[in-house]
Amino acid sequence: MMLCNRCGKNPASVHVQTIINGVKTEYDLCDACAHEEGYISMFHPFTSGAGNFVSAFLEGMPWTGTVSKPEQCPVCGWSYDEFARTGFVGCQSCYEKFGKRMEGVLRRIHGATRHVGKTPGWRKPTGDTKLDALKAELEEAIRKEEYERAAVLRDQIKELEKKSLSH
Amino acid sequence: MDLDTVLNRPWSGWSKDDGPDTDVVLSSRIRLARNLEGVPFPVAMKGEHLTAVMAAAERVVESLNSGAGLGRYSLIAIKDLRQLDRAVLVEKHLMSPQHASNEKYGALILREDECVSIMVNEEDHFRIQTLSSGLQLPETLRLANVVDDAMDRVVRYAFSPQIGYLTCCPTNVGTGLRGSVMVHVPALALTGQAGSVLSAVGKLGLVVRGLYGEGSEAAGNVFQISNQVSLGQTEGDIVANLSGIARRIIDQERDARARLINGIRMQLEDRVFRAFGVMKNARIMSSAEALRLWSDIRLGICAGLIMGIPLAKLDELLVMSRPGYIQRTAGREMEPSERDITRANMIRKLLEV
Ligand SMILES: [Zn+2]
Ligand SMILES: [Zn+2]
Repeated sequence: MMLCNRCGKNPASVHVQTIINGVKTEYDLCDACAHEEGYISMFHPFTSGAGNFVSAFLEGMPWTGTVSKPEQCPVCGWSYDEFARTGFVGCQSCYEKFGKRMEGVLRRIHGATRHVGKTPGWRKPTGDTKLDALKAELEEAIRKEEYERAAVLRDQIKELEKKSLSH
Repeated sequence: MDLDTVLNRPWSGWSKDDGPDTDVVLSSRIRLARNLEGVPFPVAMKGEHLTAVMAAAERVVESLNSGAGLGRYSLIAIKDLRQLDRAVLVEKHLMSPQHASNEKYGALILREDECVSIMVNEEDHFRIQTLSSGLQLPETLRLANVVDDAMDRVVRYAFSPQIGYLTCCPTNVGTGLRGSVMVHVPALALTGQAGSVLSAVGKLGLVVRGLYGEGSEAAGNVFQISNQVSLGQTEGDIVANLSGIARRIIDQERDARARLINGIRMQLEDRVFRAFGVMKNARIMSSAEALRLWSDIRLGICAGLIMGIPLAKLDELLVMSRPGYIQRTAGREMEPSERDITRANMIRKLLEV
């Protein structure tokens, strides 16, 4: 029976593998240690409280570069520190606000930064050229971190969609 | 839907129909994490946002109920449920333990056959979950997608073309998909291979979790295997990868069972029938003992040593022997020592032919 890599006492029950910058790290943990490290709830079928897991990815990642540290998400008020502490973000705009940093986190967790799966109905091309153009413009605004413009564009899109629905 | 019907029975709609490979795989599960566009995630939600989410939840139920062949759904607020009702919903894997205490915001959308449950305002606004018997991940994903599509028609999901469905925790972003299979590997455990087989699975980027009891064996030799990565792969690829690995574990477990039968048949029979004897006759039974005996008896049924007990019936024991179910059925709270007596009685009755 394999022993826990953390305490060295109890039999290991959880196998954990992380890929960080392409480097694989593996641990075998006992139930108690896995719980303390925040893995248990993550691997529960319902996957709550993976916070510590994400925090572990953020540790040892000092804020570097010329970009100043984003303080707070303008929409929900969630701070970057809260994200670093809990591993959770407060709203979808946090992903935009913590953009560059978030990309690093995603690469560390998933080994990828681009979604290739399903798309919800409202984000699929509509065939309405004006609407599709606005949506493309919205993506652009988000990428350039122009939040005010993004908010205006969101409203315009909603307005246009309401009209096309009422027809 | 009558919630009491769901809570009274130790089985579920999905566990009744025997899926493929149930000799090793107990269940396949798909979870999709979804959030509403423009509404903060539950962790940062305020009272006014609750109204928006609950209105969306009501539209979802209406949409699901009006869809042809989608089944009947009910919306239940957590605060309206009694403690023991919540405990049984958790024991039946229809919601998470955390969600059971989410009285302020939490709700549950449940299909009457328990194949679909949607947690509302857990970590994300919606957590769609589909369950089926045996190894059938693509089918389980298909059902989750049908539910997701019906929801997609009446709510607007938070989504980014770059990183996909946006979730409260970055570990779920992208597809929002977590697939898992629950495997029963008693022969790998008996032959001392479970550790190496399962850690090999871990090396493939999947997560293995023993449903642990006391001592050195996973309780009941049941393990859950799930994907870790939700971004950068399609839903189909994630599920195909997980299915492929589950298939390998099935083969290895069946090999080990064949070796036991061919090599030490008498010892195996002795072990299986001792377990069966205790299970049918004990007057006091802890949940840990019940799980241990369940594992031996299940192996005995699969190996053709014990006849006349369908696996689905034996597996009712997994819910029946849990503290919440026992106490809810008795209609009152009980001390552990009293539960052990009731558990023994219920199990004896289950196994009466
Ligand atoms: Zn340990
Ligand atoms: Zn935010």
